[in-house]
Parts: sequence; structure tokens; C-alpha cells
Amino acid sequence: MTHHPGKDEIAAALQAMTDESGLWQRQSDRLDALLITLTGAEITDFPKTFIFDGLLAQYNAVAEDYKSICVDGRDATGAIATALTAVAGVYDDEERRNLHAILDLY
Amino acid sequence: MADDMLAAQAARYEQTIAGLRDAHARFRDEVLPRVAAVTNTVHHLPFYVPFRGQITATADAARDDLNAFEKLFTEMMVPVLLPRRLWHSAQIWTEVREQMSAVAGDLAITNREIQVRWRGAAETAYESIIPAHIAAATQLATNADAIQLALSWGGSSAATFYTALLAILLAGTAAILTALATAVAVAGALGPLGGLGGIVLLAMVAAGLFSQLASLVNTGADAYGRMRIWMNELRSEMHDNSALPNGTWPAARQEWFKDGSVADHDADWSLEH
Repeated sequence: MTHHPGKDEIAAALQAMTDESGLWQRQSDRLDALLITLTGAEITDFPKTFIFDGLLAQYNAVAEDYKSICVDGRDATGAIATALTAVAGVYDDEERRNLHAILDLY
Repeated sequence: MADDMLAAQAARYEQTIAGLRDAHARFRDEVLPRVAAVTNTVHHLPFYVPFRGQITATADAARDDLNAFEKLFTEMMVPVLLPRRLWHSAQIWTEVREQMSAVAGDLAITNREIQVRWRGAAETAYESIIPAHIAAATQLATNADAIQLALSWGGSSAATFYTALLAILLAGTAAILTALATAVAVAGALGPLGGLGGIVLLAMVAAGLFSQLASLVNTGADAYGRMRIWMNELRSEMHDNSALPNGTWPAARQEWFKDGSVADHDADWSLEH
């Protein structure tokens, strides 16, 4: 006889997925906050004089690249969080519709 | 500890800035007018002076050199607050490094409950993408640390540069005042030849100031050349690094694991039971 997971097991599994999604969302939020922090690290308001011009331009390019990667990171980690939340939502919805038991697929 | 050292360094530099501004004001508002007055006096001596032409030409050259020095000095003072700005940014990058390390640490947790509860192709695919994100965050934490170090070093180099500039100005001012004291004797008790010595001394001091300034600028340019190379390398590292493919954060790859439905008659996410 096939063992079907009970409601508690399903609830625990869905909670694990929701927690995992939250883990990624927190990283996305953290990277989003970092973007604001990084804006303060740029030196764009400095007078362009003397021997430092090229240096500051190069530094700002590095900071800009770093920010760009953080934007990618925020979006990627956010997308993973969203995907996991969606998976949990679909699974929960199909469980409510008894689809897992009907298809014998858990 | 590092913050305390930085604060002490910043406090010392505030004194340097104040010293530079005071010394510059004195040079511009007291020394240069005195040089101009002496030069003017040399031009209008009411008695015969041997080598008058050479003396006036030497005095004019010294005055012009010192005026040019002051002009260059003024230009060099415009970015005098750069060390403060670099140190400030360095502190921000320290915070960035800490946050990025926290991202890597959070993602690197072991015994994830999701791994205990779930099985299937999607779960396997999901697990496979995690290391790339940890590696990216770890690499970015390393980069943030390197940027912080570069900025701290740059701030200290700039502070050293301006401290040396202050020393040149103070020593130069003292030397000029000595030369002037001798030069005023052109019209005084020592007679024209004594005055000539002062004018020659003034010209030598002016030329020496320029020479020291040029040497300092070269040293500063070398230091900033190294920092520019450093920045270039950091940028290259961010663009050419296995943890940051083509200078980007790894893709989410959510298409690999987003199918939570069994309606298609497979359980990409299946429960461990």
C-alpha cells in the first residue's frame, strides 16, 4: 500500500519552502539596501582638478560596476524567492483540489 | 581599532588642512606683496647700481616664479579634502563587505529544511544553483575589501602629499623672508652688492620651491598611477571572474525549478515521504 503524506507533512514541507523563499527575499532586500549605501560611496561631487581626475573616474567606474552587479543580484535572489513562493502556492492549491491524491503524485 | 586609527589619522589631517590654509594665506597676502615691493624697489633705485639690468631681471624672475608657484599651489589646494572623502568612502565599503559576507553566510547554511522535506528534479535543480550565488556574494565581499583597502591607502597617500606640501610651503616662506631681509638692503645700509646677494638668494629659493613642488607632484602622480592600476585590476577582476560571469551576478535559473504543479503528470517537486 502506497504511503501518502499526511496534512502535517505537507504543511511542514510547504513551510520549509516558504522559509527558503524568505531566505532569498531577505538577501534581495539586503542587496537593495546596499545599492543605497553604495550611492554614498561614489565620489562624483568632487572638483575635477589636478592629478586626481583620472583616478576618481576609474574608482567611480568600479563602484558603478559593483552596483550593477548588486542590481543583478537583487533581481536574481528576488526571482528565486518569487519562484519558490509560486511553487509553494501552486502545490498548496493543487493539494486543496485533491489533485495529488487523484494523480497519486506527491 | 581600525576605525580609531582612521579617526586619529583624519584628526591629524584636519590640522594639516588648517595649517595649509593659514600658510597659504600668509604666503599670498604677506609674502608675495613684500616680494613685489622689493622688486619694485630694485626697479626704481635712485642711484647707480652695477649690473642693474641683471639684478632687476633676477628679481623679476623670482617674483614671477613665486607668483606662478602660488597659482599652482592654489590649484593643488582645490582637492585638499580628497583624503577625507576617500576615507569616508572606504568606511562605506567596509559596511558593504560586511553585508555581502552576510549574504554569502546566510545562503551557505547547511541542513536546509527544504532539502529534508523535498525531492525531485526541480529540487535537485534548485540545489544546483545555490553555490553560484554563494560564490558571487563571497567574491563581491572580497572585492569590497580590496576597494576599501585601495581607498584607505589612497586617502593616506593624499594626506602625506598635502603634509609634504605644507612642509615645502613653510620652509619656502621662511627662506623667502630671509632672502627678503637681505634683499631690502639694496636700498639700505649694506649697499647694492649686499642687496644683489639677497635677490640671488630669493631667485634660488623661488626656483627651489618649484623644484620641490615638481618632485612632490611626481611622487603623487606615481602613487595615484599605482592606485589607478589597482582600480583597473579590480574592475577587470569583476568582469573576468568565474564567480561573476561576464561581470554579472549569476542568473536565477528559476525556469529550472519553478514547476510546482503535478497537473502535467510529473512531480518535479515531490515530497519526501
